[in-house]
Amino acid sequence: MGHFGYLWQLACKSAWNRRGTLLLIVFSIALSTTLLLGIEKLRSQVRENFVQAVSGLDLVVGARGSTLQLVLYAVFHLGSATNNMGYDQAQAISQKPQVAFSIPISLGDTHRDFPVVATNDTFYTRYHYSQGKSLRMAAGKKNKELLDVVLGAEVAKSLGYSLGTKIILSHGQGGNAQSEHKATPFTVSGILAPTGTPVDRSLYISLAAMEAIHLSWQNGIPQNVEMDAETMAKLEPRAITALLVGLKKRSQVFALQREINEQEGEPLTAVLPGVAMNQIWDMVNVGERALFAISALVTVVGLVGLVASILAGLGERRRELAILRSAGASPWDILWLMAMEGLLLVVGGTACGLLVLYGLLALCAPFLAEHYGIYLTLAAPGSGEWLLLLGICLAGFLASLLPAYKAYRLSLSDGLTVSL
Amino acid sequence: MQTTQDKHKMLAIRLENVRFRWPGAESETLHIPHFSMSQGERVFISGPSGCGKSTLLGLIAGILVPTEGDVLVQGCALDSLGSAGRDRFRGDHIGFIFQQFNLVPYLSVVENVLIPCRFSQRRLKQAKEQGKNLKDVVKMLLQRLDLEETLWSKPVRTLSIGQQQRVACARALIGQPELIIADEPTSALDSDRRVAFLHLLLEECISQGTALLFVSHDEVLAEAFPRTVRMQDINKIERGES
Repeated sequence: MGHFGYLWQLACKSAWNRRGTLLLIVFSIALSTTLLLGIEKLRSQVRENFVQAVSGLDLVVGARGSTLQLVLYAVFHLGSATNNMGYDQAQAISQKPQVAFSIPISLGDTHRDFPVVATNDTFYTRYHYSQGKSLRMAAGKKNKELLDVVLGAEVAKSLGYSLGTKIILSHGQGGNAQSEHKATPFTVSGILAPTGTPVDRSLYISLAAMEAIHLSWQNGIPQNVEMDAETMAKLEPRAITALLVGLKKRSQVFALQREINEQEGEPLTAVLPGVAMNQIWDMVNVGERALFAISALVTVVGLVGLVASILAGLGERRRELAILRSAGASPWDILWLMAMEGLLLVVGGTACGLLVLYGLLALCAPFLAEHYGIYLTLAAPGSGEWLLLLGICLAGFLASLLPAYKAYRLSLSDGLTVSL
Repeated sequence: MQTTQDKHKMLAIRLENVRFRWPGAESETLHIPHFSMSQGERVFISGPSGCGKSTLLGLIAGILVPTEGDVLVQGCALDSLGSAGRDRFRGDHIGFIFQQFNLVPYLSVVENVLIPCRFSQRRLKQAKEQGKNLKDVVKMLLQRLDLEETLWSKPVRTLSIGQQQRVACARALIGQPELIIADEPTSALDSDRRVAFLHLLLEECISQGTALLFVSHDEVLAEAFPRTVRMQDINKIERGES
């Protein structure tokens, strides 16, 4: 057993001997670690969620207006509705030679607070998320009949729907029996596999179906209009909310964007979703930094507690340090012994904090996904998180050098005779 | 070092014209023109508190460095070693028994006895040579010091003071250091246990050939020592004002 090995053993045994007090310190370091990493995790996961949802898209096109509002509403179904754009305009863009695929999106209806998205088959085949993953059916198939609906994974799970379930959509935000599309019940034909994007929280119907259920409405009041199913299936929308566009070559994105923004006729806005994302990050950056600063301060408080408790314990340990000195320990050994104790506590604390964090994440993930649409993945800590952990440990070690130095000075002045 | 050893047949302790003054203090605490102890000699040092006993022990232990003069332990001039060297030298050659609270509270009896072997390779090597294995050596030592096996696994704080002092005694003896310094080791014991403890200690020192420097203000114990030194006689500091 090496010299340092023995000092480690002493440090561990000594800490264990005073575990009552030290456990509180470990606990406070654990909590501050959980807070610091938890906030960091939440922040990065939220960003990742957003980025993943738009990772396969090059442009989002909609009626002229706020670019941010357009992306938030069309892709994330957040915020307030934007104006519609003409379907003919959308089709014209789809025909452009640079365009690889385009997905028309029509929003407005809901079902039990989940947004209903009207789109076409391209959505199922060409929508990509999270660096090139395509959508996959967990059960059933995509809508074939006019009044078929496909559910996102989270919708099916939280409402307990399965294939064949009949559901009624609500007009607008719903919440009122008057505004339900009672005449046109939909049948669940498919359920999508989870994606970790807003897709999971949406219901998908065809554009024709969206037209059909609104045909009978005039000025927001349901009317009786008789129409045969065949005619209805051929219905085309006059307007849609937005067009999600993927290009053949990404390098053409700016050219096409300019082209759309400057074209004659109906004024349109084409947005690079990534740029809109950056606008969001810029806005939330201040808040994020404030949160980070607060949690960093909490960590500092935890470390101050660490130093205070080691210092407080020093008095009753002078005798023991003198015994070690008499057996040949140098003042440096004493310094190391104390620093090791600090390191032990801070490493133990951060390890506990990591465990608590992952426990909490596992517990809260379903709740956050359901209520806030934040999808947490229980991945191993990333390099940023390891860096934070390392930072806490290093700070703790450096902080514990203060009591260690005090012990070093004490052992020099006490020598072998401690007057108690 | 070799020549010094030859000249003095390697005295256990030798102090020549040693003066010590605490940093910042106006007057000297200690002035010992000469003091020496032979190998295996057992010396009783008496004197009232404040007469420089602790300072003397600090100098011999290499914790304090004399302002002037030479301190030689086992023929080695301590101030030639440097502070890290003195710490190592102390671990290698000197065993200590203090007045009380001799044990590290979070270590077992056996672990407490083994502390010097953890800091000193020399003590470890010499301890291993004394028996089959290290544990065996500790056991033999503890048994000779009347510590029954049932006590060995107990937390040290549940031991009586007498038992604690005997564990400290085993720790001082393990690995056969040439010198044991006992600083008032009996003052926390009641009177009949003092004599018993002292005899145990002396017996072990004699059988190991270890020199013993025994500091106490209890003059009754001096009878058991071949030589008694009064601190007042070797420390030539004038104490006019106090």
